[in-house]
Amino acid sequence: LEENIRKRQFKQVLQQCEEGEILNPSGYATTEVYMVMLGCYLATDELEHAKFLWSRIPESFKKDNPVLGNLWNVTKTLKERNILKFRETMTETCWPDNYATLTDVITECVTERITLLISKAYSAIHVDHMATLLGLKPENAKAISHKLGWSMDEGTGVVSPVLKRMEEVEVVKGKNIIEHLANYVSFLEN
Amino acid sequence: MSFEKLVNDVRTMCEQEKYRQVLELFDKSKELSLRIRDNPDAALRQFNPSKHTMGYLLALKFKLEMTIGDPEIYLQLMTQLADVFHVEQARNLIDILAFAFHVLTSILVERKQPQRGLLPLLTAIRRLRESPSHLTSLHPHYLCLCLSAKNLSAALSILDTDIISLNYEGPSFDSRGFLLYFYYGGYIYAALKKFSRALYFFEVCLTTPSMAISAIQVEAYKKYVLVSLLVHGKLRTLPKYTSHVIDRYIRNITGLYNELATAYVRDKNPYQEIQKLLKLHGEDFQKDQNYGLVKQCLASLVKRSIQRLTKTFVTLSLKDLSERVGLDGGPREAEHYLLQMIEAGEIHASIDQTQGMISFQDEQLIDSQIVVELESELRDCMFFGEMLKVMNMNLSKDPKYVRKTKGTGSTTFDDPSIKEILSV
Repeated sequence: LEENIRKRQFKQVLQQCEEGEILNPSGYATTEVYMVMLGCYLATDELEHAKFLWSRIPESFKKDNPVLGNLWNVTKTLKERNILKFRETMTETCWPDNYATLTDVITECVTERITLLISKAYSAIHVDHMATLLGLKPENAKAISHKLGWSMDEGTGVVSPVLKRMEEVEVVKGKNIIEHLANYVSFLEN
Repeated sequence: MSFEKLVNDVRTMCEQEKYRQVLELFDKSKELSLRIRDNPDAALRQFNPSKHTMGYLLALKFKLEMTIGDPEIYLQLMTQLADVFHVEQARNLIDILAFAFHVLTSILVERKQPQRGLLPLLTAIRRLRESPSHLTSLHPHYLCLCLSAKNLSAALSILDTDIISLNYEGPSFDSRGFLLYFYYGGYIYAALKKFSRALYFFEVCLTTPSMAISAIQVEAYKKYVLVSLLVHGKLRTLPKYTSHVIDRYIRNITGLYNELATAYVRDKNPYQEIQKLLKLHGEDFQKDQNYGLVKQCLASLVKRSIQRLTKTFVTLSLKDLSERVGLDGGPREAEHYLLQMIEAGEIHASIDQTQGMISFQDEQLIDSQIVVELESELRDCMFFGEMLKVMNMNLSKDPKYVRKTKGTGSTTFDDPSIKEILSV
């Protein structure tokens, strides 16, 4: 599971965990499975699923495993869209070693989501405001904008985000292209 | 005939696939029914659930009519049955199987352990249905347990595949199961905020051919109104093929929701009007379990106002936007809403913070994205086109259809024109 989380194969991980939950005769999963599911929902911004997951985790699990409550606190900060509080909660909580990869991936995914939003929503943004949106210090925000190749006016501190182009996806390869196109034309003509 | 001989006969007939004869034997033999009724548990033990599923189910039917006994044992029995039942035999007695699972669902919901029923029901559905797009009478029970257990992701594995046909279950498949499936499905998608899909499900429920209005359809309509406001910003009229009885009478039964829909599209003070309705009829919305949806409708009014502005302006200042929409928080609050809407793909805009200006744009499609989307849409169209062709072919060969279209009133298949068609 850890390897798949590191590779960001969240769909696969969630499928495994959800099946595991149903296959268990009691209908409940283990704490580790719940942590991984909740973490994946946060990484993929599926907060509604996270909410329902939290409501069905038995109270005894929550009581006996404070780490679940800690991750739920992180979820609450994302639901409130309070990224500063999100980062504080993530850094101040003492996460067990076996969840180190999960928590790192969650932080990375949230940062990436916000930078993508900034690139979509802003043609010009002040670096301080960018830092607030990312929940970081202005120097860190500057570093991120340099890394992404966004131009910045050092005098005014205004960053010009650039929308990242999606990778080209080759839908059909090689010789099949003609067959594919012929099928489409035949369907549309008839 | 002795009981043991009768049981043996049932076992043999099941193994020899003489299913009709099994049913006839049970109908005719009072001895068999009486002995099973006397001790249903002992009768169940006579039949192997995997080889003699019909005998097992018929014995189970008698058991369910009397007493279920220990719910734990019943759950184990049903979990085992779901894994091993003979599919062909079970299809002959699907009404008993569906009833058995209905009893299981009720027990688990009452004992507040709905999650324990998900596995047996999902297994039974996957084994019984002819394909993922076939609806069985077990589907609504499964969705009911998913809702009760708050395990909505488990429901999506069933819901995400479109239903295009009903599993053949004879006269036992009633409309209630069909309506419940689409009602629960819409409910689940609305809970996950997938409102477009929820709207589709409620629409299917409401457009089911009807001679009378079902209570399920009344509840579906209430949610349909609210979800329609969230998706389209207005109450979308039901399609033309909606049954006359629904079209004519459902609005009278759900007056409060139509009032809310009218208030939503008002030009003047829609927010205040809806808040007034919430204050006056909050308990009614709570009772219908629609309070959350109504609050979401209220919150969406600001976004609707912003969306209306995108149709009028190409550029606008944040200050202007906040004033036009009526935001107390000023430009900051406007920016906050804009970011949410851009993230959700509800508008396409670009904010220039240095000038405090917003530029509204058309949707920017990226080349490779267009190809992928077009490919997927075309594939779906081709699939449905093929399916409609097959359905059309099957319908044109159906004797009842041929009789009706020919208008001969012939009740036999001796008519040469029918023979010609049937020989295709």
